[in-house]
Amino acid sequence: MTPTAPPRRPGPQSLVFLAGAVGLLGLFVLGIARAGNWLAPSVRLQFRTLDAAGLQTGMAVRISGFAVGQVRRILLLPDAQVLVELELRDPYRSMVGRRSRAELAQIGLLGDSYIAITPDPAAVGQPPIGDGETIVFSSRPDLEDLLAEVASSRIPLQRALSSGLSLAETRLPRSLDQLDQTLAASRRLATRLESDAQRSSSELNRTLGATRQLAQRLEGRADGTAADLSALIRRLESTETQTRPLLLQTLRELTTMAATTNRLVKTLNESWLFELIDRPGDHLKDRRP
Amino acid sequence: MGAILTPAPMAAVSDEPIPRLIRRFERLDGRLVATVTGTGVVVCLGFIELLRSPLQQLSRVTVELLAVRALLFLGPLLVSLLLLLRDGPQLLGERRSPGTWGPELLASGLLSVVLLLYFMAAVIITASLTLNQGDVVAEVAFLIGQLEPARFAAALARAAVYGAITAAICLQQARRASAGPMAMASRMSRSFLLGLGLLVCLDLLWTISVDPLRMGGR
Repeated sequence: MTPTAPPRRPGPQSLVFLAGAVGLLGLFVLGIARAGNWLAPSVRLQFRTLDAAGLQTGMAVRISGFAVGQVRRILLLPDAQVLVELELRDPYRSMVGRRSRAELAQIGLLGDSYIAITPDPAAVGQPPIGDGETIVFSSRPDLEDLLAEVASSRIPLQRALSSGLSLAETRLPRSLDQLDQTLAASRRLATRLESDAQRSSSELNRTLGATRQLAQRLEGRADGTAADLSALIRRLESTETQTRPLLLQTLRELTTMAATTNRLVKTLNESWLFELIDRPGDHLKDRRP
Repeated sequence: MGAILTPAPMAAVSDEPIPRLIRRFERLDGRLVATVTGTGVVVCLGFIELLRSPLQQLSRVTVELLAVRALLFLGPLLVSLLLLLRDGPQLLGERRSPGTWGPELLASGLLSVVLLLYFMAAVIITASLTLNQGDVVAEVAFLIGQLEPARFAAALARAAVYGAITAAICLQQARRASAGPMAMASRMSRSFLLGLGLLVCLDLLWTISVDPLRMGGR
């Protein structure tokens, strides 16, 4: 029988390493939770599609290219439809409405695929979309369909190219000749216009010089006329100053003369001489017995 | 590796489960943790060098993620084998009936999980420092965030299972009634080979059987 050792605790070194392991586990869990937005409130949306190709759990959900959530679950339903559950972070919930659409998109030609949700502007100010609601999924055009369309459009494109080439072969040389002729004519016209312009400019310069001289002459004459006018006005003013007292005196004399004449006429009018002239027999009548 | 292969002292031991657990956890010392973290650093550096030079993977983020995710897959196998090398001699020195293996299996599983955490920390820090472009803390947080929860939990579970399996192999080998230094070395060698083969087969089964979509693969 072996003697049993007394129960003991692990050494401090082992405890330190155990605590370190617990710390590391907490760090890992915290980092994963933070990256997966476990700590932030979120809302679950879903959509249905007939094809799960390209869809993956964990792929990003973006609005306007900005990551706002991720794909949580992809389920194949009994009716062969694929149910995709999205997790949308709560702050971006108000951008999604009932008219929002989900579609599978890709960053560039070779980048990661993601679910793009079109924002619903009408949802702003409305009650936010509810947890577990379904939005519409619009599938993007299949690459095979695109290739088929490209293949079908190849023959018309080739025809158009060949007709364009034949047209270019027949019409292009003529058009180039005509273009050359037009350019030569344009060059001649430009030369003629240049010489005409030179002549016109020299005549214009001469005309301008004559006009300038005429203007200077007119200006000189106008200055002389203005000086004469000023002298005449000054003379008129002095004449008016000198004649004003004489005129006033004359006017006064005329007034006096008119008054005197009036008195004379009145006196004469009242005299007997004028009555005699008007009624020559009346003064004899009074004297007859 | 000489330190790892040091046989455990044949001291008088208790048969109680708790003291047996404590005795196993006392083996978690600086040398074991240093060995595991050193292995993580070396394997990560080698993997990054492999991705950058011969495979011409030029994207820094791609190289880091590939290294971290690949080593998250390989980590349980590596740390369980290191634990087998470290604790195998001690387990091979104890003859117990299968009904009393519980504490040893539990302790080996837990130790394997603990060692996997140190291994992954070493891998992530090495990847961040090797291809760092300035902000090491943000780089470490980014790489930790890229660990998928399902895969991380599966890696921890696999480490626990693999640790328990290696302990079971050692305890089963210890029941063979042969003594002497040569017999001990032979049992150790056989345990290592058995453990390596079994764990590689289990990894292969895991790779084949687990649905990547259900694992939340991105």
